[in-house]
Amino acid sequence: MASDLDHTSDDANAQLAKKLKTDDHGNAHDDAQQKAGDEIFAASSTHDLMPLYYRTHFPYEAMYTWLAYGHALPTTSTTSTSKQIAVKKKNIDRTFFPRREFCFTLEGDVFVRYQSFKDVHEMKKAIRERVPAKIDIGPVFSADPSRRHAYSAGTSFVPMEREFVIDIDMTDYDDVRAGAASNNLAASSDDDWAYMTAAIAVLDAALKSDLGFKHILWVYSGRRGVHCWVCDRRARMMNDEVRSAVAAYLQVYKGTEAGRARLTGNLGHPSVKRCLRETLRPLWPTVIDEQQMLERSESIEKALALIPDEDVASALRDRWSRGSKKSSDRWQELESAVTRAASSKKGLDAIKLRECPNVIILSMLYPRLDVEVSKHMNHLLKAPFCVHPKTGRVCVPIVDAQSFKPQNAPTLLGLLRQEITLDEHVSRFLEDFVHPMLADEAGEMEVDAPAAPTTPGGASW
Amino acid sequence: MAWVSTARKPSSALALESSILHQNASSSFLSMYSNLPSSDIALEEFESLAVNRLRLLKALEHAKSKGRRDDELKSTLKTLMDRHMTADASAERESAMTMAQCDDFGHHILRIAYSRNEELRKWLVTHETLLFKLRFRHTLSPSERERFLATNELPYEPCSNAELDDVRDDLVQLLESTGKKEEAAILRASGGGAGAATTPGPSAAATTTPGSASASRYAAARAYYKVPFEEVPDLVASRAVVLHRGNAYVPSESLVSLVAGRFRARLAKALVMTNRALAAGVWADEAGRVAPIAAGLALRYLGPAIEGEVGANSQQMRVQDLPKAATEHFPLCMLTLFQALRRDAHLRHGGRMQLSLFLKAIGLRMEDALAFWKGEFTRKITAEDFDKRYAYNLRHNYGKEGKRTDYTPYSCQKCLAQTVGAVGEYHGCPYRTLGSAQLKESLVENMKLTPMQAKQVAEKAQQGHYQLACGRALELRRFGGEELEENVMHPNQYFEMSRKSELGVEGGGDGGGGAAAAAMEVEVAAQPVTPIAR
Repeated sequence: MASDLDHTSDDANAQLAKKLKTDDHGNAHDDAQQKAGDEIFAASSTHDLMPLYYRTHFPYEAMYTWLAYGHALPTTSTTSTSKQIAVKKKNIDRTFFPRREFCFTLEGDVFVRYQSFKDVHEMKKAIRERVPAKIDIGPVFSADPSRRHAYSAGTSFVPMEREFVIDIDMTDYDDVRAGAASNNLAASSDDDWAYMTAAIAVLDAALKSDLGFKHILWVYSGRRGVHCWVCDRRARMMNDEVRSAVAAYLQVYKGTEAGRARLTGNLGHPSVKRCLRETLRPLWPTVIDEQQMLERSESIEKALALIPDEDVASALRDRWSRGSKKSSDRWQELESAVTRAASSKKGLDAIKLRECPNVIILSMLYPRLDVEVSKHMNHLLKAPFCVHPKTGRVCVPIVDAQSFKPQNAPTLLGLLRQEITLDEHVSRFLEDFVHPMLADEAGEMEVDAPAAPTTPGGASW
Repeated sequence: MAWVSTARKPSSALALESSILHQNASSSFLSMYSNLPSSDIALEEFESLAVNRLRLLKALEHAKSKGRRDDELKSTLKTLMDRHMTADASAERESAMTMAQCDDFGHHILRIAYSRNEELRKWLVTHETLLFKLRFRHTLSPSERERFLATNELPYEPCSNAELDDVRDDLVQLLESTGKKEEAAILRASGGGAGAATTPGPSAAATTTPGSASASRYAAARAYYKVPFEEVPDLVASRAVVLHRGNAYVPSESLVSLVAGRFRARLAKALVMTNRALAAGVWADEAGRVAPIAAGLALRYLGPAIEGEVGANSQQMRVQDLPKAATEHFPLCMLTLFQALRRDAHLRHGGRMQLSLFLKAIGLRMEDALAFWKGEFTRKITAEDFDKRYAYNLRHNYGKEGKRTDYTPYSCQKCLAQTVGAVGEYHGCPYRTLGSAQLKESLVENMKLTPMQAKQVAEKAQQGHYQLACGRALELRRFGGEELEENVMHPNQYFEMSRKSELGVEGGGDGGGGAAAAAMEVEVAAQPVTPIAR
């Protein structure tokens, strides 16, 4: 769509500039006009507006406070409201933030890796000068990434720590979600957001109650997905092997083959059971009604393919070909049909039948992780507060996952028209996430100060 | 000529590593290898110990990659240990070395040989850990295990019954989900009313709580060890363990994972330190003596005798024979690149590297290589352009430019490690990079398999056994589906195996009885035994 309009983009920019100008005067504008403006915006290059965003809106201080993890230099001018929680002076590692890799994506998909900054001022200067379309955050290396060539290959320049990250993209749900068939990508995935709400609920619970993490940041990816940053010190210190293990632990859905979802691992594990019981089953009726899951023939087939008894499946298919019951009612029919069939069977067949509603729920609604992103320390992930070039939406942290809606995310246009600000988002990011995390961090650094090995025997080599 | 002289010098890599170790002598034969060997060995023993150790590990790797489960490897392990935990007798030595000594020396020598790069370190860590795990499981009695934990300062104590209450329901559920109904019932019962029965004393370890009925039931059940989840990644990954607030509750029969995790972590760390010490020249005075042997040992593994030089492994390859050789004998990874090159008159950097080094090793000389690549590329770009942009790199691969290293062709491991995905990139391992449908299509079209055979191969790839999948494709295509003893570890090795089939010479062991160990003898022995110097 965008490419069709490319040749008119100059024209569009001119209109947009004009539009912005009128809005500056506070003129009201009707909905039709607003809509036209948005379309022009989507077609024009976000890039042209980014300098303004980076000049006035991007929260450099907050990002720095987060990523310095208490190693912030005291010269930082913090906003008056934020209470500065810092570690004791002697434990401050001034090289910490400068060892973090940033990657800029410049116009034309040019990746510039291994950028690093001494402090917030340098970061601000670089971002304002180069106006990246996207900023990615990498690991903290053993040395300043910009001087990596001074170290011999593979020995001294290695990733030392990195948040445990998770990437979930709605395109991975295209085989089940209702909006996938629609051409209007942005709007359709907004309607399908229930999948992301479920994903956040499931993973947040597992990360907290199973793995014991506390400082978990969810961020809207700007289009149709979410990113997760687990920032506990313990998570940041995990090596690649442990990361892979955690990713595998959290991965239940492993792709679709020949129209059937493939699930992996022990599905009877208490954590999977709990996720079904406490999260997925309560959400399920609402989601399937919203998605008309058992009313659309393709998704009906997806569900029926997971019933291990062909007779039961075809009876249901038959029954659902008529009438117009809503999906949650049909789901009850499915559950009782399966239970009935199971009672007349024995052994494994009965178990398989009885479990199949759970299998269907997991297949459709369990978070579909891009595990490769999670497995390695040395993997980049887009920074919060970037602007998605296609939608113009800001990748804001998701503070209340239940109520978050992507269409309510601040847009570049809204910011530049001064209809909205990021203030609320930034201050909640700081208060709800960064400050509690830093308080814990400071505490842990106290404990670690003598630099003694913490695990008996483990560090003796 | 005694090797131990290196250990006595405080400046040696090994001594450096040992200086921070606790110095308690291990009495059990299974070892965490915390201490350096303290007796002398002769230089020739040094090599034979290492080669034997290598044979042992490679045989295990082979058996494992054939899909044998750990408990099926018990007898294999015993055979292999008897056969390979030995040293060739030295003139200086009067009595033969004990198995324990061979174990100790063999392990420590391979550490030196396999520390120099990430790929080698990873291989050694994986396979030494496998050996350790098998030995812990199959050669130690319960009391020996306890003694092992104690002597190696692995302070794992079973959870008290009270501690288990936090997670009892989950543990029961996990047992039930894996079909262990009886044990689940015992565990559940030991929790019922435990609050009353167990003395709420500060250290009420249930195993020692006297007299109570629930405690004795508990004792009859398994013990659980509560550890940070990072210590048992394999159990976490397979969801074989209950996690609660960052702790894993490891049942006693999985204790081996726990100990092996420690073993793995220590070894990985030790290898990095050894490498650093070697790189820093700590061992410079041994450069002329031991270092070449160590370096040779590492090279010896990298693909069964695949060398970097042109035609080291085959006779010369002529440009006009390439198309036929490609369709007949190239593994899928190279065939895919070859065809992409012919179709697009271009390959991207990763593809050029992977294919050109492969071609070099099957005997394509540099002049011919330049002619071949130029011929393909100049269908789209000018000859001048080619000379300017691509010729240097090709000559570089042949060691004629830049730092003049004669680069070795990619092993399967290296191909698998490639990051692929951009448009127009065809390198890496297709068994990994292609989707299932695409792979099947390619197998039918390019490897001339039937759709059924392609499905069988693709299934292996789906399960993550990329090299087995590749090996299976070779067996089906060239050996009438007969199982080969030799695994595909290297594209060039594949090529040689495939070519041999044409000459009527069977690759690998000649159907020898299925004993993995016997086959491995052939593979390792096929390499020069007194080689080394690079």
